[in-house]
Amino acid sequence: MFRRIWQAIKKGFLAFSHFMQKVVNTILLTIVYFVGVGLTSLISKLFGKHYMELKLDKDAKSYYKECMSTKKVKEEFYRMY
Amino acid sequence: MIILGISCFYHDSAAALVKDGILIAAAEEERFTRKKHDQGFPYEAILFCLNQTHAKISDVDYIVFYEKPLVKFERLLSQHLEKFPFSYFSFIKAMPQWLNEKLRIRSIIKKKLKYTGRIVYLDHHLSHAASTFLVSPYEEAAILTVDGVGEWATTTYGYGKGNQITLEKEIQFPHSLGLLYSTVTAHLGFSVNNSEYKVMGLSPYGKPAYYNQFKKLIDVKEDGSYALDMSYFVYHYKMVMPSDKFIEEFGPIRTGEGALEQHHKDIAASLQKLTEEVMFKMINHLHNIYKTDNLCLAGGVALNSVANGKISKNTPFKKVFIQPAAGDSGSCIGAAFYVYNSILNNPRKFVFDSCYLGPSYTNEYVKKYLDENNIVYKEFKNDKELIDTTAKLIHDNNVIGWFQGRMEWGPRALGSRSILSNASNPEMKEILNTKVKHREIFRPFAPVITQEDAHDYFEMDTDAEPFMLFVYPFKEKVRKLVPSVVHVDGSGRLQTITRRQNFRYYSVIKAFEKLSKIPILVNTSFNIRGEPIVCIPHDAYRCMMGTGIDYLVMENFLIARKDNPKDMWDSESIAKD
Repeated sequence: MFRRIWQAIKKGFLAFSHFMQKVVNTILLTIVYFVGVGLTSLISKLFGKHYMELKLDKDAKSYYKECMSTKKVKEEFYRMY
Repeated sequence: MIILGISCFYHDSAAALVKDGILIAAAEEERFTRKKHDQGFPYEAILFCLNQTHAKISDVDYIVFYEKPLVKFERLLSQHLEKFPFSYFSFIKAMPQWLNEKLRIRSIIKKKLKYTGRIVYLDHHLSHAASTFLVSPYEEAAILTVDGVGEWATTTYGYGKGNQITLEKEIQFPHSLGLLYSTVTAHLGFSVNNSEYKVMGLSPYGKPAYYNQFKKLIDVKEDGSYALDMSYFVYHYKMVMPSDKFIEEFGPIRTGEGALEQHHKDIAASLQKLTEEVMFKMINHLHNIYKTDNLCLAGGVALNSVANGKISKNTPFKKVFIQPAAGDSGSCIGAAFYVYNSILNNPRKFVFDSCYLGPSYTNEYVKKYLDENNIVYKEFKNDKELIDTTAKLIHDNNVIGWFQGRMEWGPRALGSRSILSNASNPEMKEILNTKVKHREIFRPFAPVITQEDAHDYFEMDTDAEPFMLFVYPFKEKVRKLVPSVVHVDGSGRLQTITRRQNFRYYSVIKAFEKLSKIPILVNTSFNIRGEPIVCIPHDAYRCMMGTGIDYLVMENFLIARKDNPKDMWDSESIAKD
């Protein structure tokens, strides 16, 4: 009996901790998004910088770009970047 | 030297083990965890690979991860910087997994596997390229990889020679042929990264009436390079894919339960036409550059078997190789081989000619399982009895679960974990759908045919098609003989099989031919709807008892569903898409 109650309490606490984790994550990530990403994005846009090519270039001959995957020295393969 | 390749944390996690340049084992994680397209760390698949080689983790010389996590993260941040503040919800949803898993791959490998050796990271599309060229039968070949997205690249091309690969050009995110296909998949009410093949199967029912609208979505150059008009898409900053403008052009998004109307079929047909056109342009461009007869394809788009079947008619390439797991799961093979062959400069000595790389179970194991669970069964005395009995059961229009030998590598059931039935029965498609598959009525079933008979039934360009990756037209005169495997346009996604590749599977078809004069069976995947293909004997028995499969031929044992009423259940109660 005591064990079952203890298990139920543990389960409840676990669910509560998951819920709190989500709440805290969301709050922290929201701050990161609006302060970190947001400010960087706004400043970049002020200076006309773009992070992705979203527009079509009808006059271009090709959309292919140089691929650097195989033009690496051996040490670079040990990196995550 | 032992090298372990890993792909995970996007979709279809998998592991492959290469020992001294030979692929010993490979499997998708979903088969063990029973979660379809499982994206988690492939712990079970790795354990299987190590057990298959009788190796310990300390024996592994290199672990190779199939992409560069930090470069991919950079691309993700770029999306949010570009689309701030519209990407807020996507940011909140994606970041926890990145911070908990994707950026911690090194520590996860070390912690979960207790591995202290060297870890290598390859570019996503390089892993794809290696997964096809380095295991192909060609000394030299042009290489094309096309998928949704890796780090930045969505399409790459280059060439392979000997043990080296050079990728020369790429198209970068957000411009992606794979994501265009996925967007339409979502628009037609199917699940993304899962049901693209359904759109392909739907396309012959329609006419390319929307082709001109699709041409507005994409600018294709003469060399096959392309860019998408991103005003039609929102996948680069939202959790959905088509934009309002896309919906204005093609109509409302179909819900999964909604009826499939003619305009849905026309959209699928138009997309398929456009996809083929872009693919053939790219492939022709490759031939202009490299002047070789051999082509190696990889990436999710290389699973478009309808387009694959038309390559030799629309391009000068004479030979095409595609590894059966051409999508992300198969990249772990490429990652392992690239380290062994290209980085460590070892000569190539492995050709991918058999897909049977997964786990197998002995007769003793199966017998023990059956006995312990009080399952009524019959044991075959020899191969001849097994083959003749199975062929006779199929000829009598029974649906057979076929569980033999090592599990297949890749998304297709190819004669180890298959459901087999009578292709000459015009009602078999309906029987299979009613009893087992419960899938959309428009989807065709695939034929398996003995290799020596393939040219009598198909208008095909090659002698063999062992991995079910090419769709070819049936010859006009034979279409009425095998109505259950002829698609609405007269085509079939065939698998050819030889005695050497799979003796029992081949022999059952031959025995069936003696009874019916037809060397073709229906071969469909052995699974409950929405679940991965079965892996272990219990999965197979559970699948039979939960569906309408009549008999299970599991190694040397025959189990009849009707003999085991105590274990019957209804799998439809848990079935998903």
